Amino acid sequence: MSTERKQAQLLPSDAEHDGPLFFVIAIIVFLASLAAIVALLAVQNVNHWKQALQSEMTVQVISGDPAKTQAAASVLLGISGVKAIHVASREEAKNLLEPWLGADNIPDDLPIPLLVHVRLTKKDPASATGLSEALESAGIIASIDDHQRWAGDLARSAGIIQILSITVLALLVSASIAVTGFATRSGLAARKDLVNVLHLVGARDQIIARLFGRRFVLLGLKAGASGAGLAAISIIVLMLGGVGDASFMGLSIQPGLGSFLLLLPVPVITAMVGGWTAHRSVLNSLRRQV
Amino acid sequence: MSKSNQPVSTKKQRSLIPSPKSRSSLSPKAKSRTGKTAPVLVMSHIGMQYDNGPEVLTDINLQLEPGSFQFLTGPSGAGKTTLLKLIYLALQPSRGSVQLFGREPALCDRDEMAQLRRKIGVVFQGFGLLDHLSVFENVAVPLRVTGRQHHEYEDDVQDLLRWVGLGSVLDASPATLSGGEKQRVAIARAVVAKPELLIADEPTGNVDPEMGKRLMRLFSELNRLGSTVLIASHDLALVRSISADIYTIEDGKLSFKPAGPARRTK
Repeated sequence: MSTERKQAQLLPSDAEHDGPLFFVIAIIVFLASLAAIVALLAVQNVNHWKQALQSEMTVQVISGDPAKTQAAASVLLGISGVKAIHVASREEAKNLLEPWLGADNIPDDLPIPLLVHVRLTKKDPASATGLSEALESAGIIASIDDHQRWAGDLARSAGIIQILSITVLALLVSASIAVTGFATRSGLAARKDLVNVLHLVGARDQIIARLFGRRFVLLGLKAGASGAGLAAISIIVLMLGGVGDASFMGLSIQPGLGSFLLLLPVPVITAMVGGWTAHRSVLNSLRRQV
Repeated sequence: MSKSNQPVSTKKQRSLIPSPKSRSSLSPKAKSRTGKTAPVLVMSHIGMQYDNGPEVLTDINLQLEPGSFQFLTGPSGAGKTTLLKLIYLALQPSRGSVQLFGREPALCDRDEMAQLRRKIGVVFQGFGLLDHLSVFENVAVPLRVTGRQHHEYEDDVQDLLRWVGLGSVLDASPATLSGGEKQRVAIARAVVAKPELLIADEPTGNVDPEMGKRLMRLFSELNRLGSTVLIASHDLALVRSISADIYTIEDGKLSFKPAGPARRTK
């Protein structure tokens, strides 16, 4: 008659080594999550701004004559591909100069170029050349800014932030792999007795590697969930603190639902990276044995 | 006293050795294409040195026939354990060739090496028990690594442990056992999968004479069932108690003495 006996874990949990490793991986995951969110925000914002900039142009009537400006507005409205226009008043134009000249330093008789903001249709928008030719044939001297330089600068800045974020992310993932590999090798050394016995009773390398891999999958899952959870809390704190309206290097930080969705697969990815690294490390170590 | 601690009578017991379903398809009695039984082990001109040290084994030639029983004797430090490690594939020889169950381990991939190791049961000199596992789980390890399920081997392992007098400590950690008890656990683990080749390094060194005789009976029964047995021991009384070929190793060299009549010991 046999008593009920549960099958014991061949590889026991190792609180002494797993505890510190859990914290290291959780911190790495936290930093990696933040880096990934920054990369995501950079992509989202650049796309949004590019669209906004590409759908608008600014026509500057050089003479600053309100009558000419109104005439220009009429010409622009008649061009195919123009959705709407807005003639900026002298006051609005003065406001634009205020940051450079100060509020009280703009004399009333100072000739200020007047601006016409042109909103383009999404489908077949008018080109800067088209606007320029139409104004020229109406005898209006104007310069047209299609914001391409600004959009280019923004895209470059955002691209740099993206590259930096992805580099940080890659470095953190590499650090995570290195830490897991080191911990696995140290775990192997600590459990040399078990590995030797399993090896000599005929356990395939894959069986031994799977034992360690499974352990690091679980550890990665827990540490990944903790790190991602901490990142989610940080985002909530940022949002509650009104950081969503702030801007940094011309990019506004607007973490939203997308940031939280980005964090969802993080524990699974951490578990997979941990498990795979541990599995590979054990196989490599075993291959050095007979 | 616990009933489970009582030795089980060999008459009413189904077998000391667990069910034959764990037997490998390659029996040691299997005949080769020419009709002759292939040797379990053939070692030719084996030399062994650790790193750049002196050669601890020199020109070893050894052949183990299927179903044979032999002792390996020699003084401490003569190279007995090194020779056994070469046989159970824990070491690779520095020179010479080895054939095990008709295969050359040097030409096998790692999975094939694992398959070869499954046919060998080893009683390690230092026992090699795992303290985080119970006595029962330690003995079950060779069966678990072959993918057998707990319910398939539970009764076999319990019967075997009862037979070696450890029925009352199935769930104990080996760390709590005496040296003799640990040795019996190690022996039970070595024989539980009915190995085709059983290698034991000083298997009776820590047990009383009565238990020593019981364990030798276990080895003999395993041998009677077809396993080839090689026991390293410097206990001359033990060596003479069984009619078996005797290999003696001295200064790294092996000599052979054919089986003589067994001497009965009290």
